[in-house]
Amino acid sequence: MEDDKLLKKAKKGEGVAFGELYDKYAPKVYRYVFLKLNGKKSDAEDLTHEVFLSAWKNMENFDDRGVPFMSYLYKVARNAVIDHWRTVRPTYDIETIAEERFSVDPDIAGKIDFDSDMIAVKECLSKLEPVYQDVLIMKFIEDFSNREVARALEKSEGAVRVIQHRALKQLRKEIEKHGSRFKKTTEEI
Amino acid sequence: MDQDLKKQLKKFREIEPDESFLRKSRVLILSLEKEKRVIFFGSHVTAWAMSFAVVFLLILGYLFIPARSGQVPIASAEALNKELNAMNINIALSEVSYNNQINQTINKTLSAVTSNAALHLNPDILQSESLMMASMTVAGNGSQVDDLLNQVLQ
Repeated sequence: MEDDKLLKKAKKGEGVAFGELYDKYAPKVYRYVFLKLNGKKSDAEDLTHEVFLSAWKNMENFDDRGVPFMSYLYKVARNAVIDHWRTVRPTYDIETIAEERFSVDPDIAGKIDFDSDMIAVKECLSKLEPVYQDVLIMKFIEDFSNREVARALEKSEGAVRVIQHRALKQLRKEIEKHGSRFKKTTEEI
Repeated sequence: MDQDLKKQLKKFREIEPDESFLRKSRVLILSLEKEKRVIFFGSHVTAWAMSFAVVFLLILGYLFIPARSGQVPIASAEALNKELNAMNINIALSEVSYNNQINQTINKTLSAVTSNAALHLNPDILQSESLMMASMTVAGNGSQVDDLLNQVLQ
């Protein structure tokens, strides 16, 4: 069933319709949150749950004329991530910092073949400005259109194009800058 | 280089949440009973209209009630002062008129007392007194009284 019909039914409180939307979008939201939280699986699950819980509670207020549902979910997810980083102050043990920062969640590593390039990209992605991360994730991982990204980030499409260009450039720089270090670390893994 | 980066980024699509987490989260969310919003008189429009009406009344109340409650003491004090001054004047005027009357009465009384002329006396009284005198004279006791008085004086 199309999103529009599902949304109309979900807005009326039909759980089955919202369930279908959940099945369709939960993996995408999880992926976004997972990458934004530097691969913390449990936190990513908690935030994904919160995002859909909030969406379900506020379904009546969702205006499907303007913002696509996916963009709306990303907007909620983005705010949840911001709130998360606001409340959680990361602490690093200087002894284990290198090991932690260049490792991958074992649950994920077991399912996916995270090669050294992916580890490098993930690490460098986390070093970018949040809005750069958002655009790269939405655009190149989730295949959002510029319009959808713009709606989710509340920016113009032109601004999204500029951010995308800068984000790719910045990511490339980060990978070049830390290339040798990554090579060494991933060889150890 | 960009194409390589984009390819690398696309590989992150392989990240998937656990099936068990998805099932559990889905059930938890959908089992939550949606909060029913209480809308008075049936529609959002009416609720908004009611809200605006209440706000409007509050603004009106704010504008006018302080004018009565806040400024009343000053206004009433002024009114009381005016009223008090008016009362004093009235009291003074009534006192003046009363004093005038009293003065006139006293003057009349004093003039009547000090006057030797009996013109002011009531003719009826004068008549009754003359009748009494006449009766005393008619009784003839006057010469006897005179004799007795002379004896006492001697």
